[in-house]
Amino acid sequence: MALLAGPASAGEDRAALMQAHRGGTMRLLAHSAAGTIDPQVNYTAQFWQVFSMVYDGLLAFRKVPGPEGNEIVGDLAEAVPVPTDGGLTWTFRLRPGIRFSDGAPVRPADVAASFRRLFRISSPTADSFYGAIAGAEACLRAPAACTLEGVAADDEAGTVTIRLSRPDPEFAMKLALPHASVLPDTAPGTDTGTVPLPGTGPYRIDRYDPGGSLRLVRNPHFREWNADAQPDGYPDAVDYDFGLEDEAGITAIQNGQADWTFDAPPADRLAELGARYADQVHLSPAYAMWFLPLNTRLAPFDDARVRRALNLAVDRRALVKLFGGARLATESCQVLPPRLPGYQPYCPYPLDLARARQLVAESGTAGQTVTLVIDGSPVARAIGTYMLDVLRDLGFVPRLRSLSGNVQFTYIQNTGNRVQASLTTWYADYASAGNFLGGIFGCQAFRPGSDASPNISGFCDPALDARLQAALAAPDGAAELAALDRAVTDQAPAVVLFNPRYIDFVSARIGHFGYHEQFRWLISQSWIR
Amino acid sequence: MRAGIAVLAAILLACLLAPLYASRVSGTDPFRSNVNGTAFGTEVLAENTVGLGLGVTPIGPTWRGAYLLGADTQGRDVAARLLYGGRTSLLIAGCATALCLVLAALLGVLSGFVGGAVDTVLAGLLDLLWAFPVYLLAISLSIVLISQDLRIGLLQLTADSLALPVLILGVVYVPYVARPIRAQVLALRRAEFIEAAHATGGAPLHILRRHILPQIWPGLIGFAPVVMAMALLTEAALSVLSIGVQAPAASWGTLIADGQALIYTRPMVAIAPGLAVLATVLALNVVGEAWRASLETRR
Repeated sequence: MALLAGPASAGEDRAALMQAHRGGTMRLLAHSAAGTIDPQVNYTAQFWQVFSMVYDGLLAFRKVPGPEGNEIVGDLAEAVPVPTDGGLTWTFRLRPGIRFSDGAPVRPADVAASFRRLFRISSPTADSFYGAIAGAEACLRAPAACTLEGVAADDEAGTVTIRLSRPDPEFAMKLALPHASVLPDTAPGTDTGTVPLPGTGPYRIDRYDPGGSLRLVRNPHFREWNADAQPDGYPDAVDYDFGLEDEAGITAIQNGQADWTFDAPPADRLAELGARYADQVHLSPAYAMWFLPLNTRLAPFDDARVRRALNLAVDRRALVKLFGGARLATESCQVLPPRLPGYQPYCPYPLDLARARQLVAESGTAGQTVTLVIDGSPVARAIGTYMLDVLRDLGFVPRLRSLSGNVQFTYIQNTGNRVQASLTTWYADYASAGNFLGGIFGCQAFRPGSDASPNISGFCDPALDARLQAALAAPDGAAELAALDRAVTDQAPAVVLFNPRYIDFVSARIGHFGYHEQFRWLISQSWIR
Repeated sequence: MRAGIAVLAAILLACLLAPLYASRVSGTDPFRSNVNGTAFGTEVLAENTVGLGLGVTPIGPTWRGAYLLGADTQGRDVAARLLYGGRTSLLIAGCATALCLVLAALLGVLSGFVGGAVDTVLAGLLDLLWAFPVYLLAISLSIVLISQDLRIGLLQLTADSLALPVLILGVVYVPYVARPIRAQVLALRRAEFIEAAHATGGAPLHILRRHILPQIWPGLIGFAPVVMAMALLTEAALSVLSIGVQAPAASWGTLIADGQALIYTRPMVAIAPGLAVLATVLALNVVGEAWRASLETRR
């Protein structure tokens, strides 16, 4: 077994390793493709992992395994600048000599055009991640006419200056995400769908067919400029095939016909993998949680006593079992997952059915109908079925509504659907307490009537929001973040169930596996034996 | 026919009487999760300990009464759920068949007997409905009705109501029965004895009741086992896709769906309800064939 195993980048002789292991074609699998291949539109972990090898932004997460992978380093920019003007002005100096995969040089004008494009194509995070850039509000109102005056390019000086309209303590991390990829200024002002755009990474997308496969080949214009930001890759090509069922995918890897699958192994294959293929299984922590958002604006969960009662009535150990056991998930009843800044173990909701029933009785809500909306995956069905028993034990009339995974997440976000309770997951976009406390329970994340309203609970406390912004900006804000975590957990806008781990099963021929905190397996940093 | 009826009767009895003896078969409440429960000194859902210790394996089939066919992923007794699930499956298939035959008889007779514009419209509607692949139509209706419930005036059917699959299955097979009934009535209308009845001043309703309905009645009954078998299969298919019977209720289809997640480690969870569906459908087909043979003999 390799828990957090991977390339010990410190002390490694990369040149020698590259000479010894460079080459070959890696064969990856996924049950399905993840939609558009446009790096400024696609918002999936599946393709962000691919984009990390193909595109670069001004900044990047260090491409090393372990917690160091959360560090931000200069990528196309020479270094991470120190913002001036009270955190409002960021000036980047571009590295000279970098070219796109079509041979065109990367210029500051491309950077500015990429940020404008982000708004012109209405990127899903244009507002939530980049809304602090000066001029963003006008761009959000009228995307086609976006000029984004907050981003200024100076081709002669080789610099890009970004002005913010308000300080954003997480701005550097947001610049390291794929949506901030730098593209040629000739990139079309629409989602390119299946047509790949030129990038600057060690690979380029040779072809993409969502119903078939995606192929990465080496970018002939790539020259390694900073191995921390964008290291050269070992395999010559990566074939990513779509359409194989999970069970068949695992069998293909066992037989050496494929090297890895994006999808988690089916539950009934876990025992076999853990027993017979332990050397090929990698368990890695995730900044993530499974939880039940409770609608704080609808009965019966508009009463905090009912929300706390449900928290007290849930046997989280049972839920971990339903997920696959204690090696794959850890019980939790707080908002922040382990290892994030501000995390301090806290659980005010030990299993106490008697107390839970008492709270429901005090609220006078027993007998009401409660509908739980889940997606149709096996684990969600198992947890949903279990929750029916819990709700019935508390005196409610429970109902389960199972929707297709394609629509469930947007359905439960829209207040128009009047969802009382739902089951969903949250995987952090980047390692920050703000991504949980603000991203799921902040006032800004609640957008009534929208399908993109990640604050599904509708929980909003402006005072907590203000404290969160201050804590994120403060260099020693961890204690305050922990206090905020406790404050939100005490209000019980959701039932946090557990923190899952990633499980990666690779073929016997894969060597040098490394897990990155942001992009999961560093595909390009493994080699083929 | 006797063999088919015997098998059917055995399955029906086993399922319908389940509440009387299920406590002796069942390890626990078959509709309640038993994730942290124990049986015979071991955990019903045991975390694996070999190697990396990944995953959870439900207790397997035992000869000790409880957990005769093992447990499913929720720790529930599969044997007990098989009995209760069978009751649900048979209830849905039976009610859907009755609904289908009543609707089909009404439409077929009305269309064939009245004729003219009524026949044109009804026959067109039946053809239109039959033009849709049955499973596709059933899946589409299920998805819409389960996600939005069915509300017609005071009538409200929620996603977890068993009346919903009954309604869907009852409707989608109407053309299968109504079209031959209509054809039979059309042929009868032109028969000499019907024309004679008209000529002697017989009232249409009298002719319908005395001369036409007795002719189509045996054929209609003959459809019952076939439609019930198809409804049983379709219900199972919908439930396997999670758009049929909704939790916590169980049917053979939902049991098969539950078993999919355990197909490698506990295949009996999916195989047992599959075999139950197979046996019932075969028995129904035997009964249907025998009924048709007896009709032929009488003619």
